[in-house]
Amino acid sequence: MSMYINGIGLVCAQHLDRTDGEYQFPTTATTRYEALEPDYKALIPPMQLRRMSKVVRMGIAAAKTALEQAGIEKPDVITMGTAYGCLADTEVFLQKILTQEETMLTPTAFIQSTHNTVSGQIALILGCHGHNFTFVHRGHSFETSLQESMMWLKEVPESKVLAGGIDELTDHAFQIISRFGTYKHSHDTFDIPSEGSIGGEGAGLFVLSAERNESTNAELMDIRLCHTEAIQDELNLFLSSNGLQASDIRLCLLGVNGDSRYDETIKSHVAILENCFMIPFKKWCGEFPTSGIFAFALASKILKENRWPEELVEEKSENIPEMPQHILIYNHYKNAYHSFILLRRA
Amino acid sequence: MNKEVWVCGLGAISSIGLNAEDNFRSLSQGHSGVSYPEFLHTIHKQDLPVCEIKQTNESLAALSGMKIDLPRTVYLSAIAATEALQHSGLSAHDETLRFGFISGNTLGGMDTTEFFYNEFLQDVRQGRLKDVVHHECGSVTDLVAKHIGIRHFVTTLSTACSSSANAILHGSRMIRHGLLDVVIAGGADALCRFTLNGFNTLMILDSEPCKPFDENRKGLNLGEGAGYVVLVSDAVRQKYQLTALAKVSGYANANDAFHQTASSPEGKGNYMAMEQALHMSGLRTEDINYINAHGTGTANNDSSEGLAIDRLFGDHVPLVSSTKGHTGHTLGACGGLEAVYCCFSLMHDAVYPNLRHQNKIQEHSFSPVRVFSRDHPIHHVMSNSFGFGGNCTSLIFSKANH
Repeated sequence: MSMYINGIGLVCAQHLDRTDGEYQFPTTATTRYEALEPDYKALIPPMQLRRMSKVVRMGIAAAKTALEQAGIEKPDVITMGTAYGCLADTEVFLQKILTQEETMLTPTAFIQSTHNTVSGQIALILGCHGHNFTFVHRGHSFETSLQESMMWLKEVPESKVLAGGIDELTDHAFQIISRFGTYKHSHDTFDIPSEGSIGGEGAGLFVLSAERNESTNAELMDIRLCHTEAIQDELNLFLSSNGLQASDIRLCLLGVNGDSRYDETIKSHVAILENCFMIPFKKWCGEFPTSGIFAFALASKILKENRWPEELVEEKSENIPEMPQHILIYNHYKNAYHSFILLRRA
Repeated sequence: MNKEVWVCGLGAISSIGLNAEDNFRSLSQGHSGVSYPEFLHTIHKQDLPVCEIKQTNESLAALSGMKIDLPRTVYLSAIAATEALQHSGLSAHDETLRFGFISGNTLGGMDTTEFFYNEFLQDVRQGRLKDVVHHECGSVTDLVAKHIGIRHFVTTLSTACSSSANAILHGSRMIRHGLLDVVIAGGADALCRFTLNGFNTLMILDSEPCKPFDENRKGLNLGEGAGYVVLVSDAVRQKYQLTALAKVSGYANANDAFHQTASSPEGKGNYMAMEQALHMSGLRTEDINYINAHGTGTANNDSSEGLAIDRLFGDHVPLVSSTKGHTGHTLGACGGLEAVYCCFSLMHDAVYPNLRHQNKIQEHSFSPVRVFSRDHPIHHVMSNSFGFGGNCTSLIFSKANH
């Protein structure tokens, strides 16, 4: 059976709108990319908006955008992935517990701190009583929600699934994660080979359906979550199980993150893709455990537009190549949580 | 698609027992795990009873065979998951089987994060990083998966109090889709200040031992623990001639879509989850012999859940009890723990007492079971788990030889 990406909602450090026919993704000299939040007025009533933390409003906005694009009011299934959940509200409540020594506490931040707050809020706002899941498995959170969506569509092909990933990067989280050496020093940009990456955040929601229609962006062929260190073998298996060879893959969105400790290893895992052009997507969205949302949205758009994205590929060629049928996404988080996603022009 | 999913191993740890058999014995003897906190670092040592496992982190580390200084939830999860796997007789090192570990929890390493954050707030360069490195829910699952040697698939669900019920649902679904052969599924959560104070601000904690389904119930007691079942495909059961303890015959997850923390008065999501699980199982309402209810002891949950049970079962309301009077509400662990209890119920025709129940809830047609019994043949049981975010999950287990 086939699965199609019929709606995309993305809030992260980049807009996917093209100007002058090309993607214009700026990169700035900073170790942290904050999400460009949309004008929420058209998407969320002001009374509700005031009570929402950043992660919730980004999620609701992305969900509404994806549904609108797909022409659907209410999905049958909601499945989300988040590594960190609602960090801002968690921090607020934790800080009060500690500084007020467990006295005089109010419930609001606690209520909104649970990891399923975003998927629950989407269900609440849409009146969606269907299956509702939240995966919280680090760098595989979003990809697991996609894997679950594929199971759903196999079981109930008429389902409209809203699947996505979401993570916010708060100031405290940025400071703490920096102490683990995850991000670069302040004078380094993505392209400077040094230890650490650029911090990112975002929300990406997608309407998946077995029905191909005029709002279809691309086909989701398959996904593979790797739980082994033999990544090359996994890639070979993944391609062959989809009737493809390494030489069939001409365009890959690659999860290199500018961290000199990992990038060469990551490139070596896809070295068998000899005729393949690479798009280093984290250069624009930053590194976060659910960064796959940006790659998934971008790959879908590129396939829909059916135009070779010369401005995004790393290796420039003399002749603009023909736009391929497939795009492979290869992502990881800190050289763990490797995953492959295969998309096809619909 | 594989039709049948079997339960072939059980593991549990809670305030009423450090292993599955001890849990069953305590349930059958009506033991309650309610006490004041001794090991939890809190100012509420004299006013908020909890269901605490009376073991230090060091002794839990020793029991689990893991190093010290990890979040408490890691130890609870490892102890119960290891027990479940050993009980099944399967080895995670069997190269012919694809093993999965699917676990639910709501707080990851929050207990150690609390200590980190206190120092971090004074000075952002302070706080031991090893106290915050396992903050993520997924990190807890990964540590345990590595400890027990699971290599093929690992994931974590966090849907509040239905987390581990959903882990069992997801594990069953993955086996049905032929993606895995064996799944250790369930969940774990340890007590911590974050949840104790969080539930306290919602004013839904009982300052006495809780009384689920009682007209005069005052709220819940928080608990801690872990519970896992080993799920296998029919092919694996046959190949290894495993003794099936129960069959997973139905599951469903529905959303109440009413309020972030409260259930709709009529329990719409609760009803939908139970109804859809029953539909999947192909059973009739009169086939269900026992419901292990979510039954937290809060005014809101027990009222909505009971009304939904009445609406679905009509004249055929089965025996109902909540075991949270014994274990407290173990949040991300309760669906796993109660799945273990449901399997014991099927294996021993056992129905557990709903502790401290005195007065029937007026709006309900039924009273919960008050005494332990082995008088009724139990062929099919339903296990309910409902959580914040409107997440409602219902699982149905059946006798293995049915």
